[in-house]
This record gives sequence, C-alpha cells and structure tokens, in this order.
Amino acid sequence: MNNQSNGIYIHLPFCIKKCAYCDFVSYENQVEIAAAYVDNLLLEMEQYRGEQADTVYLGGGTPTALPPHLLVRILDGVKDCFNLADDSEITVETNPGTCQKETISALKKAGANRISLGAQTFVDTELSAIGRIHTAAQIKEAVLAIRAGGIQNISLDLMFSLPGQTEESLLYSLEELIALNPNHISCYSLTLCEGTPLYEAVSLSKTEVPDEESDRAMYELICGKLKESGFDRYEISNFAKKGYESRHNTKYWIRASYIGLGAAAHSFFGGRRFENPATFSDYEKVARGEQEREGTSLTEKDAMAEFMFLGLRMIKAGVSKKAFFSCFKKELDKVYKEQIARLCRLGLLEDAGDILRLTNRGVDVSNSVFCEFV
Amino acid sequence: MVNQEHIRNFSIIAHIDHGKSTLADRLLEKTGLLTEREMEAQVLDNMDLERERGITIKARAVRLLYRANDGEEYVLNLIDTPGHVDFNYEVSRSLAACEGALLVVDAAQGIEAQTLANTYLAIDHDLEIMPVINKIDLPAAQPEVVIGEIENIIGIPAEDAPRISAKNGIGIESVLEQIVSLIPPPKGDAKAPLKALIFDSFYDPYKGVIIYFRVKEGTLKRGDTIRLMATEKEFEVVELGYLHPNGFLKSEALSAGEVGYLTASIKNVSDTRVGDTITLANRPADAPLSGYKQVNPMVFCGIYPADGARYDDLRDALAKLQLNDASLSYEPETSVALGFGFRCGFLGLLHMEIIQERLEREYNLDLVTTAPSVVYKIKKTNGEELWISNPTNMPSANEILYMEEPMVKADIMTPTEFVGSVMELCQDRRGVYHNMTYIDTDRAQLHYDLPLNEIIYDFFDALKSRTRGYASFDYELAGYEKSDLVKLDILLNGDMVDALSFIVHNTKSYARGRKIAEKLKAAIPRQLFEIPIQAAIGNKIIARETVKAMRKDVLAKCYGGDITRKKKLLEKQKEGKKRMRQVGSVEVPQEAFMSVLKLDE
Repeated sequence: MNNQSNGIYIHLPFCIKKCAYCDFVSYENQVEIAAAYVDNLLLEMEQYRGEQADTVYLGGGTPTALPPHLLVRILDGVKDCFNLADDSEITVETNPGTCQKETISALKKAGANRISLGAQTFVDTELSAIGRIHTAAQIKEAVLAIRAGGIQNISLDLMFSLPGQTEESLLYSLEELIALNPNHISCYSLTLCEGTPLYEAVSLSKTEVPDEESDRAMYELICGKLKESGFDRYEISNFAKKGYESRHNTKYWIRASYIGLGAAAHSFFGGRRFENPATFSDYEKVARGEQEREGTSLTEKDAMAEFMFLGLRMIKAGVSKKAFFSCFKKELDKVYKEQIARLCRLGLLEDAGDILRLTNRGVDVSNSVFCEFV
Repeated sequence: MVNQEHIRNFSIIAHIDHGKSTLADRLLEKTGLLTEREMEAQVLDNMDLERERGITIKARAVRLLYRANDGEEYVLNLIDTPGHVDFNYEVSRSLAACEGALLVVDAAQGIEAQTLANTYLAIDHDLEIMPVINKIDLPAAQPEVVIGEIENIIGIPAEDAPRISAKNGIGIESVLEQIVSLIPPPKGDAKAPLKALIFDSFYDPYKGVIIYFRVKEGTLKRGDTIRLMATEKEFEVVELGYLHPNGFLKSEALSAGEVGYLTASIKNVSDTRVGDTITLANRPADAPLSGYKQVNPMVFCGIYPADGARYDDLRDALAKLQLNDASLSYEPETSVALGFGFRCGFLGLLHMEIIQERLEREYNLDLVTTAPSVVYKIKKTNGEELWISNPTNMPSANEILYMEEPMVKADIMTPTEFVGSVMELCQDRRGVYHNMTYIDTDRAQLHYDLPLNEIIYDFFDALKSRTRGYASFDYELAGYEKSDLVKLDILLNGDMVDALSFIVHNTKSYARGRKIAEKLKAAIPRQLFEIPIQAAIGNKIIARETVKAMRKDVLAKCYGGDITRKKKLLEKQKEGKKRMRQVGSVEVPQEAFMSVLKLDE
C-alpha cells in the first residue's frame, strides 16, 4: 500500500468530433459503448482499492460527451474505491456544447468541484480553422451554464499560434477570456503533430500558421495581459488566480504519484511509470487483470532527469536543491555542474541560491534546456 | 614458347560507354573461351563500383586464341586500359606493352576529347591504330561521318574500319581478322638480358602481389630471381603464367613478345611500380625500359570518421586499399573541428571519389571529408621552400615571398553551339585561351591552360551542364606557375574552423567567401545563441552571415501525465545534437562540412 496521497486520472476517450490538431487517444462516434467502458473503469479501480487520493481528474476526449449518469457512476466508484481526502480537487474536462446546467449540477452532486473548459479562442474563424465544433458565443453560454450548475472553480484553455491568428485577434480573445473571470487559465501554443489533419494541411501549404517570432510575441502578450489581470504564471503553460493552481497537474511536475485509469492512461505509481493500451479491447484485458501494462522502472539517472525537466516547468518554484538532495542524497550542483554552468552562461537558467529556475528566454527554448538533463 | 609471328598485343581505346567492355566481351566469346552463361558480367571490369560507373580502373590482360582465315592460330593479348584522365600514366604503360590499339568510336557520337588524348598517346608509342566503328545499329548512327572525322582529325585512313555492333555481335569476326592482319607482331630477342615492363600490379591475399608484365627482351622462367630496376628490390618468382578469361594459367617461361603475370611473395604493391622494368638479378639488363616515372598524388583532402571512435577502422581500411593502390597516399592528421583523421592524396578527383565510396561501401564507414586541395609551392621570405597540401599549414602572408600553383593543359571538345558558354566557363576558372580547332562544322576543340585548383571542385559538372552533357574534357599537368593566392578561413562564432579553410585565388576570394558563408548558414541549424559566420583572409573579414538564435522550441502539451513520451522527445532532440560536431560552442552537422564542396548548386 502506497502511503502517499495519489492523484487519479481517468481517461474518457470519447469525442463528438475530433479536432484537427488533436493527437490524443480519443474516438468519435463510440458513445454507445461508453457504458461498457465505464464497467471496465470500475473493474480497473478495484486493482487499487484502498489507495489514498486527494485529486481526481476526468480528462479526454470530452468526458461530457457521455451521458451524465455514466460520469456520476465513475465518480461514485472513485469515492467508494479510494480513500479520498475531504478537500480533494475533483476536475472534469468539458467542451462548449456538451455542458448543460443539468450535467454540471449532476457532477457537482457527485463531488466534482472544478471544471476545465476548452475555449481555445474567441474568434469563430479561428475555431473552425482548427476543427472545433463550437462558436465563441457557445463558450460564454457554457461558462454561464457551469456557474448556474453550481461549480464556480473554472479553468479555461486558450490556444495561440493558430492559423489566421494575429496579435490583435489574440488580444481580443484574451479580453473576452478575462471578462469571463475564470480562476485558472492554460495556454498552449499550437503543436502540429504528424498524422493530424492540421499537420497535413500545413505541410501541403494549404494552411499557414504564425512564424516563431509571432508565436513568441503572442506568448509575451499573454503573459503580460494575464499578469496585469491578476493571474500568476506558476507553470510554463498555466496561469492561476492566487490559490487556484491545479493541484492535480502539479503532481505531474513534482513527481508525486498518480494512478491512470482507462484506455491510454498513464500512471506513476510505486516508482514505476506505466501506461494502459489505447484500444478498447486491449484495455478491457488490462482492466480485467488478464494483460500486463507496458512500463518501466526508473533508474536513478532517469529519476534525476525527470526531477529537472519536470520541476523546471514550474516557473516560479523552480527546482529546489534541498529537495533534490533529500530525494537523491546527491547534490544537484555537482550532478549537473556543467549543464547548469552552461545554461546560466547562456542566460537560460537563473541560479537563485536554493532555487534553480528558467529565465524568460529559457522558457522560450525550454526543450533545449531540458535536453541537457536527459 | 609461342612464335612471335603469331602474337598480337593490343589495347582498346574508347570513350566511356562507347562500347569498350562490350567489344572485349564479344572478342572473348568469339575466341571460344567464354560461354554465354559466363558472360553475365562484363568480365574485364571486376569491381562493382567500376561497373556501376561504366569505367575500368585497373588494367587487366587476357590471352585469347584465335584461328584466323589463313588457317593459323594466333595468340591475341588484350590489355585493358583505364578510361579516365586520373589514370593517364597507367594508360600510357598499358599502351607501351602493345603494338596496336583498337580505336572504338561510337557511330552516333563521334570522337571525344579523351579518346583523342589516348589515341595521341598510342601514336606517341608508335602503336598501329585500328579504327572500329561501333553501334552501327543505332538509328542515329552516321558511320561515314565518323570515318571522315577520324581521317580528318587523327589523319589515319579509316575507310576499311570494321563497322560493328558489339552489343548485337555484328562484325566481330572482321575485327579479329584485322587485328591479325593490321597489328604487327612483337619484336625482341628472347636470348637477350631480360627486360619486362610492369603495366599493372595488385595485391592478392593468398599469393601476395600479382604483377602484370610484357616481356620486351629475354626470357623469364619460374624460379628466376628478378630485380625490379626502379625500386631495386629482388624476389624469386614463385608462379608465372598468363591470364585465361576465367583465371590464371601457369606456365614455365615467358619470352620476348609475350604478356603474362607473376607472383613472387611480394607483400606490397609499392615495391612493384607500374612502368618499372623487371630484369634478372644474375644477368641484369644494362638500362631499364624508358618511360618510368613515379606518379605523385595531385589532389588531397582530409578524411575523418564521422564517428571518432572508428578512427582505427578508417586507418585499417586505408591500409587495405593501399595494398592495391600504390597511388593512394595517406598520413594521420588532426583537426580541431573534426578530430583525428587522415590527409589523403589521390591522382585526381575521380580517384578521390572512388576511394571515398569504397571506404563507405566496402568498409561501412561514415566519412566527413574536407574540400579537396592541390599541392602549392611556397617560397618564404626567409628563402625556405614549402610544398603544402593542407591549407591549414599555409604560413601567414608576411612570411610568404610568392606562391606557385599547378597548371594543366586542357583540351575540351564541344558542339560548336556551346563554344561561347564553354569559353565563358574557362575564363571564369582563370583559363588562358590557346586556340580552337574545328573538328567538323559541328564540333570544335578548345585548348586552354587552367589552374588545377579550378578544376578539382566541380569543373566537369559545370562543363556538362553548360553543354547538355555533350562536351568532353581531358587534361595533362603542365608544371607550376606563380599565382596570387590567399588562404580563406571560416570562423563560427569567432572560432576558426580549420577543416573549412582553403586556398583560393585572390580575385575569387570574395565571391567564394560569400558563397561558403551562405552555404553554411543554410546548413547550420538555429541554436540557443546567435552564430556569426565569417569568412576571413588573415584578420580581414570579407563575408559575414548570421544564423539567428533559435526563437523557441516546441512547447508540447504535457497532458495526462504522459512523461515517458515527453522524455522520449527530449532524448530524440538530444540524439540529434550528438550527431553534430562541436566546434567551439557551435554544433555543426556533418553535412555542413560537405556542403561547402558543392558551391555551384
């Protein structure tokens, strides 16, 4: 039995329609098999019965593409199976057009206290360019419905570097977003993943995306605008009003343990990282305990690398040398002596006594910084 | 011993793909020594690489038996010659072993520069030239025009030349008959002191070095102790014989006029120089045969293993290649940018390419090569004289009194419509025009003096592209001339990259510097900081480009706790960096070193 309080991630790979940029595991038009899928989730949970947990995250896909009673069944199952802390953060992801007031109140009743809504942009042409099925007006309706349904802790997703997006149009989206007064905002630069329709369109020059310079200008615009609106950038892509940082996602960065349930869900549990298979049929075997999960135990070197490249994502907190020492019984300054010297010299890292953190420039090229530690 | 009257020693002169190998195959087939099944490949060309390029690099000699229409049986020794200007000296030694040469000309293409050069070489050696018109079956064939060309340019009668198709086996009989009737039998006194000409040698792992030779005077027997007159080495002949198309046939003795091979437990081809004279240790000839010279490498480049850990493999591979190729030279050198490698010397550009390809293909090595250089002569202000093949070793300008560079005499044959374009190219390459002769109304021959360093990069490619592939080109070395040369250095982020330095004529330094800086800018990926690329002569910067700092790298969403995938992406990115060379603070991809070799693209 694991003494740590775990995070629980539950993957619901169902969408009404997949977005043009999405390369996560999710399936269209499969909602009719959702009931059977939920049965498997409840089965899989049993493998962890009694574990402590203090965050729950229903992600997807679009969890609210499922009928509310199935979501309630899942949350009830979690409460029954796990030793859930009273003040647990329980988040459900949703998209405009799938979150009626009734759905939200049902979720609230079942324990959900945080909603993450995929807004992405408030310009309709940009929404359709990335294959979203809703309009800007529907985002506002969704926020009203969530509040009316009784959940006030709302996180909104925003994307930038979208086809056709300009700094002006981004500013407009930001203003609209801020006007909705969310508690938390996640901002992602559009990533073109191979195999997605948008990737194809851009490689065939059918669609154009803003260049690197505009991308950075947009990121700076976002940081500035959100800062003046009282949002604190606590992680590369995440901004929050004080006290509203995502407790669940933070577990990823600080290498706390989490249990992933459902197809393609990832876990970090008992010092091992492992993942569930992506197809429903293979997942069913895993849920029934008939098939092993793929995974690896981490060497000390792996664990130290993770400590660095995950910890540095937390822009303010950075990585603590003391925390590193208490974790590995080795001094961070010695283990990564050359890397740290080089990255500080290049102005990408800031060495502030116990804390090592990315500079603004380091944020722009964070992957190159992280590379130094793997 | 074969009666000299019944021996014919001959070579085939032809332009690449005018049908030399095909004709050789047909001759072998007709003389009954090869079945069709054995003819799968063109037997004279042994190496894959040669076959792919359609050229013959190492000379071979085969003995054919032919019963002529006069009822007599003749021994025909076919001595194959390399077909490229880099191997000019080897060609001349092969020709020196013959009494005649077949001049094979494509009935559709006519004479090419190289054919002409080799024909003149054969005439210089007093060989009987026997024209053969090949590919008469092609729709574009114009045998009469080509015959006129041969008579006009070379000045030998060609009206009776066999009109053949080697590919389809047409007219092969008439070629064999003319060989017997036109080419004179060898002369030479079988009782005189031995004089045999080495025209090729190669290393065999079982027998040691195998020497190909032509006995000019005297007789050589198995067990004789031979002396190689240039290298002054002595060996005992273990095996002696001649080449059957399918292998070696042993013999007890070979006499004046005959062609054959010998082995004598010789370990190194550098002992058996092409052109050297074999004589007997106990009864030596007074003087060696004329014409021997030591061939020196003309083109040099640095060859480095892409993976520094494979330095030993590269050294072993070069040693093995050198066993068979005395003209390949190499010595260890160190580059700040590329680590440990070798400075290698070659007869010419083709020779260099062949060696590089063999290292990569046969020895499975990934190479980084530096720009080829010629050998420059430097007179220093302190009176010292220097020969340098590596630009890095060039002294600073204030220590140099003057420099000299190697020159070549070049013959270029081109259709007349491209004359202007070819002249422009030669002028651009600092060529000095001599004269132009018209071969016929459609074709002209241009004579230029050109600096060797202007033709070792891409001259041939440029010539081909300007003439839609119709021009042909031949050159011979023509000594050294004073020249206004400078060393151009490349600096990345302020650090000089020794492997990218080269020597160039002052008038061309700015253009070349700019071009290289542009090439490098395209080849070096953006990095975490801005990288100035500078081309400099001494302390003077003559060109500058900048690789801008990387603006951002992808902030992929790290979703649902999939850390494993994130880590894999980081590892992949890191792996990509490992494949690059660290030059000072800059990571330079291997391709960047090679990109500067292709300046005209």
